[in-house]
Amino acid sequence: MSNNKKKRIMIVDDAQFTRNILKKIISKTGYCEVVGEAKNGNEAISLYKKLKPDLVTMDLVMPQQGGIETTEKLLKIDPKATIIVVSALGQEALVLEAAKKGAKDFIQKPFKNEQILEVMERTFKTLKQGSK
Amino acid sequence: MASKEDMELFLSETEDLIQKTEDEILKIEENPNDSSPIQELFFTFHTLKGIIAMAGFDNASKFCHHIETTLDHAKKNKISANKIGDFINVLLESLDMLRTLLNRVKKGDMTDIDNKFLIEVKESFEVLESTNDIAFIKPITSSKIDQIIAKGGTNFYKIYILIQTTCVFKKVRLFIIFRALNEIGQICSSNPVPEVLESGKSNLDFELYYISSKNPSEITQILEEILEIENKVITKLDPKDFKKIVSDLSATGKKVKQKALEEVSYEEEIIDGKVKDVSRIVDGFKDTSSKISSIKVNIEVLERLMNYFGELVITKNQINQKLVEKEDKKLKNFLDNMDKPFLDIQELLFRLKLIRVESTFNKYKRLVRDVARETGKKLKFILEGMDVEIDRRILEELNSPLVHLLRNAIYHGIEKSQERKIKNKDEIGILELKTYRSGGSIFIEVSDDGKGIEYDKIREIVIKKGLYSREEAMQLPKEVLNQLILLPNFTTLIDANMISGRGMGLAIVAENIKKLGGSLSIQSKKDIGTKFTLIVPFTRAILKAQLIKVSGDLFAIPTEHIEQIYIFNPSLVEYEGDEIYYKLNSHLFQIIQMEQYLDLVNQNYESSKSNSHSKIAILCKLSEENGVIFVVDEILQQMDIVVKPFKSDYADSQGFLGSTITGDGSICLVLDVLNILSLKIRENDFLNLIN
Repeated sequence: MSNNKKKRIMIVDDAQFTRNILKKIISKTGYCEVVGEAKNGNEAISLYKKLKPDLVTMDLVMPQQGGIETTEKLLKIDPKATIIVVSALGQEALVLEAAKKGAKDFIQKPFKNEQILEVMERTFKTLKQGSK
Repeated sequence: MASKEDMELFLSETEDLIQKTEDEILKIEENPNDSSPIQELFFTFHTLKGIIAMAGFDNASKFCHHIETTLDHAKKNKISANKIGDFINVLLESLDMLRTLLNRVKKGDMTDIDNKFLIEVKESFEVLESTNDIAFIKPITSSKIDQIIAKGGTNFYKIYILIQTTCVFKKVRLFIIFRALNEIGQICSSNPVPEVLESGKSNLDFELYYISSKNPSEITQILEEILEIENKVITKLDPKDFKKIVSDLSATGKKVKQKALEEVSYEEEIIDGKVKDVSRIVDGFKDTSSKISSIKVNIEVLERLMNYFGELVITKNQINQKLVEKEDKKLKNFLDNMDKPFLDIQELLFRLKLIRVESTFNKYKRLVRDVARETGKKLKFILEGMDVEIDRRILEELNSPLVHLLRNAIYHGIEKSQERKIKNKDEIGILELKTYRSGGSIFIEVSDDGKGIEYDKIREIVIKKGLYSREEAMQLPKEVLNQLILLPNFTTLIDANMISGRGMGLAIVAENIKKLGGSLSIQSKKDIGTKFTLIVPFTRAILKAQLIKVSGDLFAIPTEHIEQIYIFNPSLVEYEGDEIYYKLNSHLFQIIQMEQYLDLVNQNYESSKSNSHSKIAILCKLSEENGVIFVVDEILQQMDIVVKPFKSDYADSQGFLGSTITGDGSICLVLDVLNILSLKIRENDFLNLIN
């Protein structure tokens, strides 16, 4: 039953390497777990429909369907989706575009562990308070 | 699969197209209102798309397709002025990506452009095409504030926010903060003014004037969710105070706004190159040769042809020698008949190796533009003498020194507009790259009208390093200091900023030029500018040379440097200190005794011959004022020689261009007059100044 309480995270990134790192960091929080991984936009959308995660980390540049388009589509499916963009350096215009499409926040690669933890804390702590 | 020849053609064709494209892109920048470059680009990318697809690079072809589509849009709906800078950037970056692909292909790596880049470029263009700004701050009138006060239920806030210094995408960060706040209220004003704030160019902290029905803890909570906020202070304001501040802000703000806008647009001038004069490239050479009347030949083939011909020249010289020895006049006459065609072929081959400096120098337009943008400087880049021809090899070797000098001139020479204004200089700096031929050498000048070398700082370093005492250092003239800057040990030890960066890497530049058999000199005047003059040989392959004998050994001097040859007259020798001079037409030229210079004192030879023979004085000049007399034992015939450069391990042997084989098959060293001369002159300056 304790699993139910954990926040469910979905990682969207075309690089296995990045996905693994994110997964490790997220599992460290203790209160979040990675429930799904997608390596491109199409996968992300079908997986999101299935899993309805609490938070999605979104890479911007991916084959087939990029992060901006995916962000837009995910928010159409679920306007309350919390999408955090994980972008590489030098993509300010892309990140801004993703934010305009509705991404909640963003972090840059290479990220530090604490940054990911901070994202989870800020997102979920406040959400908890809000639901009180 | 395309054959090797096909691929070579593909590469050369694509490279040409890319270069052409780059020129067109820079034209947009020069004159954003002219749509013809865009039209031109559209067709070029269309062609590129086609041939790249034929060569089997699907992604690269799609890549070109995206660019083509965007250009098509741009053609139909004009790109807005504030986006043109980004537009040009994306285009240039795309070109670089194609260049990278070509370089890979050259090395035999046939990997296509990565899918990622394909999407990236597509999205970059989409972003460009969409119209949006982060306008979240809605100005509010004082009458509206009165209405809100009267209605009640609304709180008035001042929100101070400090963004973390590590924040990279400030504009996006602001967007997220503003969006979050506007979901539960309305930002009415800001300090600094919205225009500055929204441009993302302001400081890390700012104040927002904000109205909301929510209480401070709710606002705090909203901000808590956002990353990269270092500090925030939410202060509840009295409605009257709020009204006053907001109206004050909008009143003074109008002025500030005006100024801010000026500043912003001023920066954009540099960044986007909107103003016509900015970074405009003035090309001294107008290209008139658009007709195609040439074919492409692999440079390697040319090199081989040159080598074979060189062997032929040597063999011919050998036959000639034998015939002279045998006094076979009949055959010698036949051989002499070959001279003319030989000369003609040589001339032609020689021409084939030559290339206009334009081919490389044209690329500097882009370099200069990029560096000017990087440093936020306004300048005019003037290219002169683009039609001067030079040996391809030498031109290649010149590239990195020139890039270094050009970058230096922009980084450290040319001042920012404000500084130039204060100095009463034209706001727009001038950077000039001038090429001309004089004698057997090519002169390349890189000059700027910037702040000049800070000699006083160099003097300080000289003192600090203990090279000279303070008094001595203060006496040192610029010329000596210039030479000091070029010394490797001197420059690597000093801080770049100490002499406004001029020193760093200059030693390497000097070294490279020296390797080419050239020389580098500096002229600089405070606040007037700096001029670097590179003198490099025109070619190094086949030269006409005067054969000389020193202590019984054979040497060759390229005739292009020889001004006059005299019988050495001991009565014209004058002594001054340790130096010996030769007086010619009331002008004193320093004497270089080749025997001593080359360290060739041959005991046997000296006793048997030196006194019975009068020596020969050869006058070689570098320029009007600078010349020396070489004193040699004998002069022999003049002949065409093929210079074989030393293998790199020995390339450091100063004073020699290389070796050659003469008619009788003996090996002789070819003197590098230019190098000897410039070394001597340098040395002299030192000696004169120290004494």
